[in-house]
Amino acid sequence: MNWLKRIFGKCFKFKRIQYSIAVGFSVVILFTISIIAIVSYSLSIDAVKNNSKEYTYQLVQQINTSIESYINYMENISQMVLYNSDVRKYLSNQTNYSIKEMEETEKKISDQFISILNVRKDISNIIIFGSNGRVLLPYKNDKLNLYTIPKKQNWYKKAIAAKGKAVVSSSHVEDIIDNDYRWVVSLSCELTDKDSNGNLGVLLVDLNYSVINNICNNVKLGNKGYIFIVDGEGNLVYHPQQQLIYSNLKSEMIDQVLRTKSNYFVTGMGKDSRIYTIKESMDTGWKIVGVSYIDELVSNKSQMQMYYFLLGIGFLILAIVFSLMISSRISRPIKKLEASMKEVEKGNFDIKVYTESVNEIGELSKAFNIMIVKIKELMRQNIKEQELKRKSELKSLQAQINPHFLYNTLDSIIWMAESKKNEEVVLMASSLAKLFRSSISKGQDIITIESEIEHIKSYLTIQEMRYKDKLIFEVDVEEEIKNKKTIKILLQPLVENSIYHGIKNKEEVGHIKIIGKRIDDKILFQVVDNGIGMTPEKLKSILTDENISPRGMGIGVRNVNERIILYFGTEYGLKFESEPEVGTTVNVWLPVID
Amino acid sequence: MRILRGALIISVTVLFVLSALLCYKYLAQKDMKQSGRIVVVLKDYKNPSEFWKVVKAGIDTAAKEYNVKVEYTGADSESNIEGQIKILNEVCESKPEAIILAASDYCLLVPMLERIDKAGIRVINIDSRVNSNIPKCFISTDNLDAGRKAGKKLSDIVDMNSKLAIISYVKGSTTAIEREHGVLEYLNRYRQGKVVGTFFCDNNQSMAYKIVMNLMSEHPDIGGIACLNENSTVGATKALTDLGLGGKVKLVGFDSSFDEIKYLEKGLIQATVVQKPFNMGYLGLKTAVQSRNGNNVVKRIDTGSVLVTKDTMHTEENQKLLFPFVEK
Repeated sequence: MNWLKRIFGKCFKFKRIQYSIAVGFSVVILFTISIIAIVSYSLSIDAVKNNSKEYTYQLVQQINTSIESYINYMENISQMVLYNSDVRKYLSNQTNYSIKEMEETEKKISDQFISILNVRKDISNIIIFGSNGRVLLPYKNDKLNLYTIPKKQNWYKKAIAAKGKAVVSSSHVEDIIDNDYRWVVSLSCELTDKDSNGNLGVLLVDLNYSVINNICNNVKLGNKGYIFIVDGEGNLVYHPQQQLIYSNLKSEMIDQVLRTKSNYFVTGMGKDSRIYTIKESMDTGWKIVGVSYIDELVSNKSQMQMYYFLLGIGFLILAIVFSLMISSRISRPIKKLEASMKEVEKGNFDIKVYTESVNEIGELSKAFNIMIVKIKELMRQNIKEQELKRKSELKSLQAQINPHFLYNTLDSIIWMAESKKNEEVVLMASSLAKLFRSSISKGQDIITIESEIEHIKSYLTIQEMRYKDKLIFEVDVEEEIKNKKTIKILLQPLVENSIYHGIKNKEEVGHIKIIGKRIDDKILFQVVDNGIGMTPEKLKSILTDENISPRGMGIGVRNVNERIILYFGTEYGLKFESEPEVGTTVNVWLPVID
Repeated sequence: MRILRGALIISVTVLFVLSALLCYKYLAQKDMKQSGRIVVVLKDYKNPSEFWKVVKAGIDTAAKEYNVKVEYTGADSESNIEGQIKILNEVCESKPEAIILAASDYCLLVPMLERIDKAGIRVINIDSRVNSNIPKCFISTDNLDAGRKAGKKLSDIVDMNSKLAIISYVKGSTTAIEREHGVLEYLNRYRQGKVVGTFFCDNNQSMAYKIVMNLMSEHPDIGGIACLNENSTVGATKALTDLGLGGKVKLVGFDSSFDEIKYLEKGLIQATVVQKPFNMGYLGLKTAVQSRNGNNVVKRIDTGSVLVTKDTMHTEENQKLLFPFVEK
């Protein structure tokens, strides 16, 4: 089985589905057509064979009937002779008849015989051999062959042995008459005395062999087929190739013919295969045998083969054309899809597969189209996001190097230096340095929460010193989350926002508290102030309104929110809680990143 | 793609149509083969003896069996060698597939045979041989063997002191020479010096009659004669009968005819060597067909001969040989 599979696998490995389908179809169709052709061919051959078998049997029967009719006629003659009083007189042993009387009787019988012989040319002679030594030859010119002894002839001996029953001989040469050698079939029968049952003589009726020869010779059993006749003892009565058989050039299955009980037997192989059809004659004991060659029974065999062959080829061509058509119909949309796919591979997404088919391949094409659209959309989105990221980064950098803040801080340092507040100068300058150092952060976007806290602490320290007595800050971050990561400059815009929009406008001391903690699998930073707070409307617009002036509150905050969303997704970002005159809390939700 | 498919369909169709045509042509050719002509050139075509009638019957039987068309032709008499050459020429022009030839001469036909061979026609030689290697097969009675049978019979029945003679038919005829050699083989061994000679009757009964008449007056002590064909046998028997020596001078003849059978019955002939003309004809055509179909055929086939005496003349086998059933 395995090697079969392997061979099939090799044979049907096509680069195109179309060919696989076409070849598969063709093979199956070829197989089917061949089987159908072979089966119907053999069926019709069988039918023809049976017909001709029947025909042969009828033919043989006919021959038998006509031969029997001749034999019957001969028997009738013998019956006629048997009960003829003139014959009895002629054969009687009594000597009281005069010679003249005897001659008259002989003439009467001869005339009778000659009239029969004149009517029936198939009867060659009728002769009576008397046991009294008299021989009656109907033709006056005939003389007995002196070198032949009738009593020693087979037909004579058999007639005596049969005791009054008619005996039919096989074919032989009749040499009773001088100068006359004819092939005949003889019917002989003993003539007996009615009273004493004693032997009176033997009657011989000869049938011209040519009668049988003609009957059998004129029969057509195909070109090679023939008829032959054997007598009950296996002697050939008639055979078209008798001489070949005697010379052992040919053999005839006489034994099998004699042995077989049925009407048919088949013998030989291939071209030599033939049917023997046998009919036994009741009258003569002869067997009339018709031999017909099987390859000839079906005379138009090659024609039939041709017919089936051409028909098969016709259907095969039709089938192949159809299978090619069907396979191309199936494979065409697949090919189209394949071509589109190749285009996509090259980067062309502005493509659409049009298909009219509603089958699986139609569905596939539709899905392909949808997929292409989605991919296109995603790519567009991706590009946009990248752009946004870059923009926000720029903005955050901008926010970080806010020149106002810088010169305000430097102003404060100068002012403190003038007032000789050395310690404060040192603290402020070092905080400013720390602030910038951490904001550079080696160019990385993502930094640890610890450095972000350092950064915001520096910032708040500077602001605290600038807004002396107006701002107090507090940082409370869980140790556990300090080594987690976050985007940089996250808290500064929020704190800045709280200072400039919440605390700056407040009479009392402002409080800013920064809380960092882990809640489940998220990190929450809270920038809590007790500034002036916001109205719900302002709160609502803080992250969405585009029309806020660049210097107005919200631009930095929104930038932070956008960056969180860009980096971590929409589930993270800023949440504002605010109440006018109480304060604002900004909740910053981040993922836990190690 | 469309073009490629179209090409594929067309090529497949063309392939099948071509193969179908090829098959058809092959079958048609096979049919033609069956209707090929075979011409039989006989020795005495105009007035054939029983022997040649039976040869023809054998050929016809085989022709029916092998489904071939046979045409008969030949010169008017056995001794008309020129006539046979002319007929052969005509046959060669008509381009049959094969010729079955009973040659009337051993040497004179050879140039003609060469021409026939060049024309691509197969030749099967029957009955009497030509001095050529061209015939695919030579089918005849083994005449040497037939002669031996006659010689043996003669030496069996003739007493030791009697002289012997041979009456042959045509001088130079191969069959005659071979038969003569066969007869002499025995007679020279067992009757050395007793053979007075071989005489030729030119296949003529009255010639044979005269020869025997003269022979008996010159050599009254002749006790046995071997006659090498039908005419010489019949002529010799008539002479012996007329001289009143029928049955006394032993005679072994050849072939079978009505007269010979009578003589055999009457005891005027002691035995006759009978050939098997039916087999010769049958095998001649069979071999011609085999050769035409491209099968290898044997170069020589002996059809055999049978010595028939009065006692054996009515056996079933010999009846068919002695009394060939030929339809008139």
